[in-house]
Amino acid sequence: MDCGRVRAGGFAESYLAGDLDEAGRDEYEGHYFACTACFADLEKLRALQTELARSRARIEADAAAAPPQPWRWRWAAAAAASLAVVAGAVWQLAPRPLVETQPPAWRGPSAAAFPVAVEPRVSGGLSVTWREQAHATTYIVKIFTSDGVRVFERQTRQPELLVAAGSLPAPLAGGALVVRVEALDAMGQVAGRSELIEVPAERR
Amino acid sequence: MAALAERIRGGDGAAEEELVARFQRRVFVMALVRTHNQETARDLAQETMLGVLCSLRAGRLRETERLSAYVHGTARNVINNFLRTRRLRPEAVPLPDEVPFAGDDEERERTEHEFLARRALSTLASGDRLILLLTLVEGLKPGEIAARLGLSSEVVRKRKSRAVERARSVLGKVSRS
Repeated sequence: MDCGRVRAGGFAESYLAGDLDEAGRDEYEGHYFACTACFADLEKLRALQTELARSRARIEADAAAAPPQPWRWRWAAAAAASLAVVAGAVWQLAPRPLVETQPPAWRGPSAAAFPVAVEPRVSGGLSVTWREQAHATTYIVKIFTSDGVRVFERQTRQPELLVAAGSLPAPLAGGALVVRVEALDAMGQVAGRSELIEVPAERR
Repeated sequence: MAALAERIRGGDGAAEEELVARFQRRVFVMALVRTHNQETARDLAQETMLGVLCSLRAGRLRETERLSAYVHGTARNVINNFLRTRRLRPEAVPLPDEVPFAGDDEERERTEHEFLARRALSTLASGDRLILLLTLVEGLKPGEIAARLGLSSEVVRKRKSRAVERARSVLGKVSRS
């Protein structure tokens, strides 16, 4: 592998997106361990990835509010559909037995997003529950503020997690939170992602 | 690289610092991509560097010109072992004092990267930012993004490549890259 092939093949982007197979990942890692220029390029794209994640809410809002071009109308429609699902998720937070009838709002790299239910706990905090996913050995529960800043991350092997109130920003200070679960396979690769669930401050 | 390994074998502390400065961050990134957990990645990077240093001090690496591959292979073994067993590293195994750590320069460079990343994103059209978000954060393929946005896969590929290159040109202004 040489630098030209790395650049032309978009290896750095694919690597960060978890889109390389094991052989490709090993080959690319072997290259950037030896190559200063390609590792510097990877670091730049990592910074970009981090900033994209932090700015997620604003980027989605900007794209939905952009001037009317045909594809943007379609995005706006998709965003509206997502909002409808979020509204459904908020409704789902009402204290009642778990049901999962919501259609997926967010798709992972290779499969439809799986449903996840988030409920407030009597003692404070949140209960996050989902169904076991095929090929998944571990799950990561991630919680973001509405402007995309990650405030909580925890791994678990069980398809549920209780998040203590003390692990989350104070409701008044933190505003709404967004919950997502990632399913990882035995090699730590993302095998699936859940839909995004918004938790309004008044529900926690 | 071979000279670096030989210097470490000869007890040169500066060479050990050089080795850590060169490889610890690489191992951390590799572990982070595979484990998605910063704390775990830091631990695995330290464990890997400690293992490599111990091997080099003891002269166990025979093909010293393959030092990069050796560090990569050690990192892969440490990370895969962690992923297979999912057991936590034993507590109370601090690195000995003589193992150096990455310095302030690296931290300053990361801060500069973050600043320039914000600037790079601000130069992109909102649709291109969205395509990058769906690619680099959500891990969607061009076909999946195309279906979501009502574009062709080819258009998504072109816009993604253009956006990445533009971001690279802004991020290329990092002082020490």
